Amino acid sequence: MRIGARPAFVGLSLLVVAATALALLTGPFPLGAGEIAAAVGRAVTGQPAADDTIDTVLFSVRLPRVAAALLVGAALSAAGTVY
Amino acid sequence: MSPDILGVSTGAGLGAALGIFLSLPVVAIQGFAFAGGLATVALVYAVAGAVRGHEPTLVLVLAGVVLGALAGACISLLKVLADPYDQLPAITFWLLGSLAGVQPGDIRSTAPLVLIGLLPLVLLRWRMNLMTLGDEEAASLGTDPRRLRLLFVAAATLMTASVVAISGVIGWVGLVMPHIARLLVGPNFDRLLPAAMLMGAGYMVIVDTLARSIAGTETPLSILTAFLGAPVFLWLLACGRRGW
Repeated sequence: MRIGARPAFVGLSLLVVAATALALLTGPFPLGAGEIAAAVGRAVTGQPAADDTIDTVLFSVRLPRVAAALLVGAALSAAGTVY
Repeated sequence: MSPDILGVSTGAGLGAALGIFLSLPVVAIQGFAFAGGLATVALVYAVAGAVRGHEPTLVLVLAGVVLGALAGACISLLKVLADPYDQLPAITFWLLGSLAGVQPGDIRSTAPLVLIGLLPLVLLRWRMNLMTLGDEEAASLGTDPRRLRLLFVAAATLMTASVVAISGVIGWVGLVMPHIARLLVGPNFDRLLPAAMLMGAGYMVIVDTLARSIAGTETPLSILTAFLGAPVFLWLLACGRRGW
């Protein structure tokens, strides 16, 4: 089942990106891809938030949660390879 | 292998249970959990170091099992003593793991610790390969197995304790992801570490997304990781005879 290192890493990276995108889109508050992109664009360029709710849900709820999931998963797996 | 083999997750659970029992603020509970995880592994190492004349890895694992069981018993005691209306559910859910209450500050405090723990693993990745040959072989090739083992365990424990402090106890990730990664990219630690980390990160994101969409309320993460991880591990055991 061993596949080459490069395809494996490319595939895994795509998986992580896809999972992150899916996670940001999922939740009780409806957030579309366009709204996410717009909010990120506004935050990056320093403009004031157009819609507070979107910004709160995205930056205070979903983004920390997804970032934490990435961090926790990576750390636990790294620790697991040592043992 | 599961990072909890030396009791870091159980020790962190004990720290958190104590923090919840004492009605401490969230930050203190996280700190207690972090300290509990580190203290348990330090104790395991101290106990294993006091035992002479046996295979060091075996002694370490046995000490970890025993002290982990002791920590588990202390957690059970705290559960009995805790207030059944709000402390006991809090302890139970902490032990099942959740990312529901994660704050941006949690990421800021945990990420540097994980990176610090990652640093020795990345810098010494070739020596990690040597360690799999066994202590005598590794020593004959110029490494110091005892010191390396201590360093690797310390690094892994730091990483595990710091994330368990913010997420609670999440099992079946450190156990299953490295094996699947090994099937994909082979046992060379140079590739295994990043592959396992990528896989674990993606897996955790998927599981967390499931946790908050599958049912009306938040499903604790350990429940999902166990239901997903246990069958995969059984499958790995069953057809793993071709070699890890």
